[in-house]
Amino acid sequence: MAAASPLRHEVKRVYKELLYLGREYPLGFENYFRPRLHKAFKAKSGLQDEDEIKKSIAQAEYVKKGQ
Amino acid sequence: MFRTALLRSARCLAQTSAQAQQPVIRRAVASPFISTRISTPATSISAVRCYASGSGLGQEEITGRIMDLLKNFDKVNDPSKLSAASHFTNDLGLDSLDTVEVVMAIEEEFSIEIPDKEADAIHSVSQAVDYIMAQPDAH
Repeated sequence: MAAASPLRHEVKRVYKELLYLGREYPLGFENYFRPRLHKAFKAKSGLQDEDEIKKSIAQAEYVKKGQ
Repeated sequence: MFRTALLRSARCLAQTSAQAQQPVIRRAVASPFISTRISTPATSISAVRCYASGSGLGQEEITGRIMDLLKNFDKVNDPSKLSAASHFTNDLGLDSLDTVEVVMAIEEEFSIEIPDKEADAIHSVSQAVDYIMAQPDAH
């Protein structure tokens, strides 16, 4: 819980943006996109290194652009 | 109820008048690349709105609506633990990402926008209710 808060905000912001974008995902939102997005973020929830987290955020931004 | 109806009709009126004005504006503006949406409906709505009157949302109503919303949220693993004092993480078994989703759902339910900073501080039903109570824009 005591993670660096600026990065924490960043992660939540990008998560929220992806959720908004995912509503129009062709394979479905509730049963496809949302669980998968959650899993993808959850898989990286253990990251401690700031650079690693930043890299992951950049990856999320990349996914956002691709949509 | 009357206020909502008034607002809605005002919005309709603003939109129709905006649409009616559009051709005129389009003719006046030479370049087709300039956006013709000059008149914003928001300004005409604010003219009708009475800011002095309260939001009209009672604490019980807000709590009820938030509880309903959480009841329909599929990640709440134990609906029996759901109460006005429930903590999202400790009582309902939601993680921080789920909390983001709950806050998003609350934003939509009350048609407001919660800034990231304030959204971060909402971790329980009672905190959400307090926040909505403090928002005059909440519907």
